[in-house]
Amino acid sequence: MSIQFQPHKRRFLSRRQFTRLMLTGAIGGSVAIAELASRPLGLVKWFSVNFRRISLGFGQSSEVAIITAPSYDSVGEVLNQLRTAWDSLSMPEVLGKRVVLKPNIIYNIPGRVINTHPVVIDAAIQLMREKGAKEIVVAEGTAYQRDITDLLYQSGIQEVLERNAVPFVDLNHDDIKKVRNKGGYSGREDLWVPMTVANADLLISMPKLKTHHWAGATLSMKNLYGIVPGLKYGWPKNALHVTGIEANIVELYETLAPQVAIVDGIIGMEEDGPLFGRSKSTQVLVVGRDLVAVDATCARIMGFEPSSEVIKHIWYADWLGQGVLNQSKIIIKGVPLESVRQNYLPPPSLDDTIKRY
Amino acid sequence: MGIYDKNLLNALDFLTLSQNLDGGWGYRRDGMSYTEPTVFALLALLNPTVGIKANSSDPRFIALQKGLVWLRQGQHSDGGWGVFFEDGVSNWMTYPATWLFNVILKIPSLFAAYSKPEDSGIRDRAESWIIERGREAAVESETLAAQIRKLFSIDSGFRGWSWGMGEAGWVIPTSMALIALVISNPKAMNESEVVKNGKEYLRDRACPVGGWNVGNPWMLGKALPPTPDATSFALLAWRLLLDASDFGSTSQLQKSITLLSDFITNSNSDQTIVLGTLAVRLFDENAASLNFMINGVTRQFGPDNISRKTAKGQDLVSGGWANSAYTTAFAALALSDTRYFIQPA
Repeated sequence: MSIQFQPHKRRFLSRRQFTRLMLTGAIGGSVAIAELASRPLGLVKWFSVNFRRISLGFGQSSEVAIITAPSYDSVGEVLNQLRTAWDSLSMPEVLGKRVVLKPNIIYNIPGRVINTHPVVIDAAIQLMREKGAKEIVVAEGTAYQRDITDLLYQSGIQEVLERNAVPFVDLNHDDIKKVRNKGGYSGREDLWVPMTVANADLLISMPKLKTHHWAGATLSMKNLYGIVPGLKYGWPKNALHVTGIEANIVELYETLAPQVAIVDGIIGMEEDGPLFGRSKSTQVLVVGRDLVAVDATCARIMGFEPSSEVIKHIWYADWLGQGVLNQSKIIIKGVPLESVRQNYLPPPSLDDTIKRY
Repeated sequence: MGIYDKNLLNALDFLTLSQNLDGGWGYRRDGMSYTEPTVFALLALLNPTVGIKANSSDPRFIALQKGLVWLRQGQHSDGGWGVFFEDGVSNWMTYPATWLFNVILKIPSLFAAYSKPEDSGIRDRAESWIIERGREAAVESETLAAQIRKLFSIDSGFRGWSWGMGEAGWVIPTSMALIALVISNPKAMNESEVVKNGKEYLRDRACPVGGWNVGNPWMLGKALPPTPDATSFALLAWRLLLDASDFGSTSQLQKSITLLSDFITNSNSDQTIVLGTLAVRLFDENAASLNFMINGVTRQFGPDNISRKTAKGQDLVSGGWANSAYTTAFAALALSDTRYFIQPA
């Protein structure tokens, strides 16, 4: 009797091995798809953003003060209103701090309300002095010309600076240092930042309430474009447009981390902002620590609801967990939003591809 | 001796004393060294009429040598310069740096005193960078070109030079790039297609009222006003690009000179006054208006003329303008009786 050996059936993979392989492939494929889908953030950042968003989803709210201010006629009155707004919120400590006020100063075109009004800057200087600031600097890196001196005179800001003995720093030609971009949204690893801003204890963004033909609206976050040094990024700083306006705005916000916004909405600009729009008397100052919430509130005052289509960078900043967009989670101090809401004419809608010009 | 020679010498002393230890200059005194202010400080110090003794212990000679070392060492392997040493990306500051090397290589006395054997290679690599990397890309899409024409009233077929690689062209970098390319041989270079196209870029971007701004004469159908800085740099370039078509009382050139003269008269800015005077002086030989402008730079005229202005002119102690090497360099160039910096021979 001979022993018959069953021929061994040679299989390429056992069922178990096959299952493991498929499982590994599925996980690997999912990770690869997630990595691709999460660009330019990257997977780790994408998870951290979502974690932050989920955390914010559980009850975080922001406070924003809306205070009426009828005109620019009296610095004292604007100061009183600004102080009321400031004191109604939980604001950062000013005592002993080096404060940088960053207004929006772009162009002088007769008949157009383009720049942050000198009376509002004056009031902010005086408020910071009252609060015990060790040093106050007004700083701007204007977008359309290299020499800002005449613009300071023509706008009336120079007189305010001299009267208050406050220095002005031209951020376009300041000493600079390289910092790492914290967000990774713009595709740039680093950002060159003026020393004046890098060394500030408290950075206050002071925009004008305006529409903007590229960004929808130019408010406290978009105002940060004026911080990037022209000597590195050129004029009118369209280098930042090439990689996406929205991505660069949220990048600047996360990296520069301004702590306060004071928005000059006494007279705003509608339609073709930021230069050629029409004046719109709105009679408000808007103040807050969460610049996303401040800008969302300002947009609503202008009659726009920020979304993935309208003033996208506010929506994007909210999605990234940088602040609060949801109206129900913004606690308004001062006057109700509805009482000051306007219907600003929107800016022209433009294609992304031409925003570099 | 000219009446402004003392002012000029004091300005050069200010530049010499405000040089940083590393050999460069900043936009303001004690500010960090950047390529652009270093170039213009060197260009001012190179004034061949001042009579610096080469290989001497003259502080100006030493400052020039140190500054040129700083500049040579700052050139990147691709031929360009960044804004300063730590900036590894070449950009628009390549244009003024190339301009400077062309002046040194062109003027025999400067060549003998300051050039190094490697300078012509430095210049050649820089010019290649300007043409290949600094110039804005052509707009290939007809649709996009039409859209740009409609919204900005500009012709994207004319290609300017950008602040940074891969970006759109703008007036100031285009002006500086054209000077850098043309200065060594205007007659030949003005016939090149690149320069012809660049000149048409400047013509296309001119503001309807005269002068230039960043490069948007129109913004969505509305005229964006000219600014003195862009107008000054464009006129500096225009001086090298002139041909018969540029003259006439209603020409863009004449409108721009008139506009810039108005800017100078009404400005509170030392920078605007010195840069504007430098540009206007290249065109306007009228003694009365020149004297007025140069007096504006030096603040030598009577109290009635200065009462409405706050620009301080030259500081009589330091010799500088606005405590800035950058502004002082342009003032020194404006006061120079020769045009070695724009028409070297």
